[in-house]
Amino acid sequence: MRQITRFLSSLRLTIFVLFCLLILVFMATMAQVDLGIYFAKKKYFDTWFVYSEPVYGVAIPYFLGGWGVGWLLLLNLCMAHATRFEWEVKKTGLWLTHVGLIVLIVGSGMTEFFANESQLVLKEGQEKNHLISSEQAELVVTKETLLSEKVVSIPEQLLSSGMTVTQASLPFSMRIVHYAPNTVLSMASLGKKPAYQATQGIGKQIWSREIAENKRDMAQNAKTAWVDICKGNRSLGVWMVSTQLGAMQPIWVDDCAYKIQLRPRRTYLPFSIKLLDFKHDVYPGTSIPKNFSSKVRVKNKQTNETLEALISMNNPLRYGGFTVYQASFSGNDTISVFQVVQNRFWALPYIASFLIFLGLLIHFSMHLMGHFGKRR
Amino acid sequence: MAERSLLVNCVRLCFCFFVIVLPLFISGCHLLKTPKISVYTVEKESVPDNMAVASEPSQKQIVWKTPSTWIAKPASEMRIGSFSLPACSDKEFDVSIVTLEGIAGGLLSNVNRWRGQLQLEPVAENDLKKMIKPLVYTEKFDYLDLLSLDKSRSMMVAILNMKEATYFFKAVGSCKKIDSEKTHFLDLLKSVHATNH
Repeated sequence: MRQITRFLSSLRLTIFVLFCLLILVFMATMAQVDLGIYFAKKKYFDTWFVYSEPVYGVAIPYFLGGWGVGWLLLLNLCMAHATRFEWEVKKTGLWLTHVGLIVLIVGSGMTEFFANESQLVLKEGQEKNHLISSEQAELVVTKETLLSEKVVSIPEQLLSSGMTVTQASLPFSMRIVHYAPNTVLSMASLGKKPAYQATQGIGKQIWSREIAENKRDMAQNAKTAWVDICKGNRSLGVWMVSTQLGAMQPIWVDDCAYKIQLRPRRTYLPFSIKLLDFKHDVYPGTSIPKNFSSKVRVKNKQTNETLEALISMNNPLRYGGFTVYQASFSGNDTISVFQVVQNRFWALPYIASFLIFLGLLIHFSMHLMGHFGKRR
Repeated sequence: MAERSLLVNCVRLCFCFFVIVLPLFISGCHLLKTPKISVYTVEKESVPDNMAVASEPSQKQIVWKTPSTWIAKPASEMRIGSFSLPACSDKEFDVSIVTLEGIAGGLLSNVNRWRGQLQLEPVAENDLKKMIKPLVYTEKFDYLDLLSLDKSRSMMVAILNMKEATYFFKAVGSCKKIDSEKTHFLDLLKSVHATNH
């Protein structure tokens, strides 16, 4: 036990983990060329281990992932203090620096677990109270009433071929016949039929061919699922849903209309944002962009609050725990794209940096004073 | 001295506690982050969200000017534009603008599908080249006219190949209507241009 404790609190482990972190950052940086930021982060940092490409369906871990490195570093730091902590004034600086490091590592973990980053795409005059994910999708079944709609949302991560979804709020079950992370859609035609075909809905007229997932930044994958709707043991047909198909498809069960769609994953806001005006200024006589700005109106029905704000590059709107950044635009300068971040732990890196700075300042000041004292 | 030793032990204990509690906390966070099926009620959207989907940031888009005599119909699942003529049924005259990702199944399969809609026999790749006429306006189109065997129905199709998507402009209806609206159809094609963000 003592040996384990000694190892976990040793400086050797610190050096080893820091070296692993160095290599991990290098590998992830190189991988970004092919994978893009989202998938590189997912493969190298949002995991305990980095896995090889599956061989016969088995992926082998070959290196420590971001969580593994962070957890080991934290364990090492805590164990060192738990076993060797001494209350000495001259070590105050080091102690503060280490606490700052702990706050930094814990903060990055908290951000990873709890922060949410999504997009808001608004056309001039359009108002929305939901964000969309640029990477993840969801299979939704909705049932409309006069003023509202009930939504059953199945995250993309749960969609696997052969799974069956049964929900108490739905009078039918859904069997995922097949899920493809990227496809090419074309009009149904003569020739070789695709492996999966819809028997109901718009999908009857469309053929879908599965292709490799495009993992580069900003790539739009046409995620497609074939869903068998079953009432009891009876199949009502197979619907093809795809993120490439804009509108929802109706399903009639027991004389009630439901709608099914595979769409970018939504996050609903406690308020709505309306784009009043988008401006794309250029330097006079050139087409070089000078400034992008969006005038928006935020309406909070819960607090009856309405406010107008101008969002521009480096000038985000902070409201209700969300930060809305100007990210892009399209549609002949009529559509504005915002990046919306919700991070309750945004202050932790600042607190950590302050503690590290203060700790190092105290540590080096004391050394300097000691040095001058000796010279006298 | 005893107080100091107590403080040291307390701090050490805090770190031990942290080391024990942290894995439990991380496991809890993992469980929270595990994707789950959710059921919720939201306000009904007054306007379908098709527009936003069609305008995803990385997609190239097109704009066009609709002839003043045409009537715009609501866009459906596949159509980003849909038009007809006043007092005309869809069978008499129907214009659609459809977009699909990539090469959308290839030209030959699409042409044969349209030929099938007019009860015409499929053609081979070699015959296809003779049928396609390039139209170069602001954008470059592959254009073709199709006429049914009984010469009652005809079709005008223009295909616009972009880097990420293919756009199909199709007018189908009775020969009389198609002939009379050909100028307007070509005017629409002339007005088409891509918008980059």
